[in-house]
Amino acid sequence: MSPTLYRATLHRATLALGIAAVASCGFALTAGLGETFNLVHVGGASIAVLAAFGVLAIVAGARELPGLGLVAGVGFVACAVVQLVQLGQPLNLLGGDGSTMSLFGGLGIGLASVWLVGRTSTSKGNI
Amino acid sequence: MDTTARIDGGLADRSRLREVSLAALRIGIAALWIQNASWKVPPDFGAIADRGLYFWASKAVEYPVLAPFSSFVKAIVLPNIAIFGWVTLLTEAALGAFLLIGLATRFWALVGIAQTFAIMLSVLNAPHEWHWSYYLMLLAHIVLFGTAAGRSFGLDGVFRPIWSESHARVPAIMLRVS
Repeated sequence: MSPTLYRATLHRATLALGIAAVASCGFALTAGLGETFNLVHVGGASIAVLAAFGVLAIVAGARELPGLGLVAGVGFVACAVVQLVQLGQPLNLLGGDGSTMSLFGGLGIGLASVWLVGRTSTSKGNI
Repeated sequence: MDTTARIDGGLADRSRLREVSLAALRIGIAALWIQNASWKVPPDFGAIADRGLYFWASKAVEYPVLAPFSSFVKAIVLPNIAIFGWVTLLTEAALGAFLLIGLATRFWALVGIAQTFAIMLSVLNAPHEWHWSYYLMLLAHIVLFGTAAGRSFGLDGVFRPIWSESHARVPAIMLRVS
């Protein structure tokens, strides 16, 4: 695979993670359906987090801006950490729980790792 | 020529279906762990009100599956539920996160198998539990491991070409666990 083609694959991965983040906002609609369908607890500010960083990742993937993908990834990881330290506490700024933390963490690690692998492949100049 | 094309087309369709099925299984199992990270709440993990993780862990003592495991839970886990609760929460949240994106999937499938055994040994004999839930959970993780499901629409599949070109230690490890 040529470096150009490989970079395009990485941009598509960033795009896919961004779409997954925005699509996850849909779990806000399942909140009233009980545990059977409400698989991830998304509410309050966590909806804004998914939408904002998700759109950022989509733009990063579509416009081929890996740095922007990293910003979205770091943003998600930071929000996962915020959610983690607030688990079981009266203050819950993001309105989520352990499931929200896990989702943020996955998306953030994914976006950051795409940037990291892209940087490695670029510095090596080949695949 | 037409026959060959039909045969090739059939193989391609089956391969595509296989990839989509494995991705669906991986993401579904990720959702299982993600959702179950929601009710493990620090700092006491339900110890004070006898609910949540403490309640379910205590089933290993009330309805033993394996006597040594039951003794371990009674003597070590329940008195230190604050520590074991965090380990459980972080492990299951990480399982959900990594299986969702398909990164280091084989490693996390093995972690999932270990965690499933821990859950089985806790609640398999508890009332109203359907034992096949846990057998299916175990089998699903075995499939994720055996098929390296992160290579199907997961980041493992995206990253492996670059990892395979590198001679550094971390990419070599990632190749093995993906």
